[in-house]
Amino acid sequence: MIIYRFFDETCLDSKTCFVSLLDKLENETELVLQNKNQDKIVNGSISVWHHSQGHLLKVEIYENDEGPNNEHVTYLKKPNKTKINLLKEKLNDLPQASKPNVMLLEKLKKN
Amino acid sequence: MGFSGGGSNVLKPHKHTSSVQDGSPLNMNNVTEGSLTAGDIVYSDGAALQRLAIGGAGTAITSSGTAPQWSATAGISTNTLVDFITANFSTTSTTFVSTGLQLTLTNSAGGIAIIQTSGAVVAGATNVDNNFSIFDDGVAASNAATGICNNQTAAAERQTISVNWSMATDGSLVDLMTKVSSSNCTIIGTNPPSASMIISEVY
Repeated sequence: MIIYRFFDETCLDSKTCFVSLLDKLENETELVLQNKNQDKIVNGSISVWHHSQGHLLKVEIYENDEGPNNEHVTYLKKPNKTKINLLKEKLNDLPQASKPNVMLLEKLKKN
Repeated sequence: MGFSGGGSNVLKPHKHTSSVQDGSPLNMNNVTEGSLTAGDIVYSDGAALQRLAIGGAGTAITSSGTAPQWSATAGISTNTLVDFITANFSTTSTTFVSTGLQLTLTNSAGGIAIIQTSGAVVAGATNVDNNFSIFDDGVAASNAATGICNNQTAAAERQTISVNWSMATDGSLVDLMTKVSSSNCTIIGTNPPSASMIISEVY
């Protein structure tokens, strides 16, 4: 499942902004969105294009369990519906972007 | 044999050489007439002169092996496509995700596209394996190039990435995809430096 959201965020730099959003979403949903533990189990990932007038967030949640293979080193684990619903709520709570880059979104959806 | 010869009114065979008695050279400067129409070209079939009517616009003269002919031209076109990430791009994805560097190739059979991508990266941790690959309509086209994404903050200390590939000009969507082994990685899209995809096409 892939979800796109535009949002506003004021940070010192992109890296800080990204880590802040990542920590927030992981803490509030208990989803594992980054491979930072030794067990390498992840429920999905986040990607952000840091535009000054509207960041674009892409959240990918895995819909099937899958072990490590030639494509990835991690265990992909489908999360339960409660966590997914909580994620959607938290994404809706993000501050609205003032000038969303719609062209970038359309471009990304082509693939 | 010359024109002279006993006052006869019969035009005798001649060759139009420089000799006055042989008819002198044909004056080709808008004087000599023939059974031709505008644009005709004259050639010999070995026995007699033949006219070749003007060809269609954009055609060129080629050889059939026995005679000249007008043929469609096989010209070469070149084209350059450029894309930039105009923002920094961060990801935690351990499976390939688009960086946003995307271009659509020209659709022309027999052509070739040279794809060059480059940029700089900074990670959320030290020694994060950072893979990049060029995808062709959603399928990995190039062998994945692996770089190390480190957590340096100064621009001069950042790692650079470069992935190059060539493929047919088949109208497909070319996408620079990336994934990390752990933690996260940010491609620096703001200036300086910037991440770019440049495609040079010949078809």
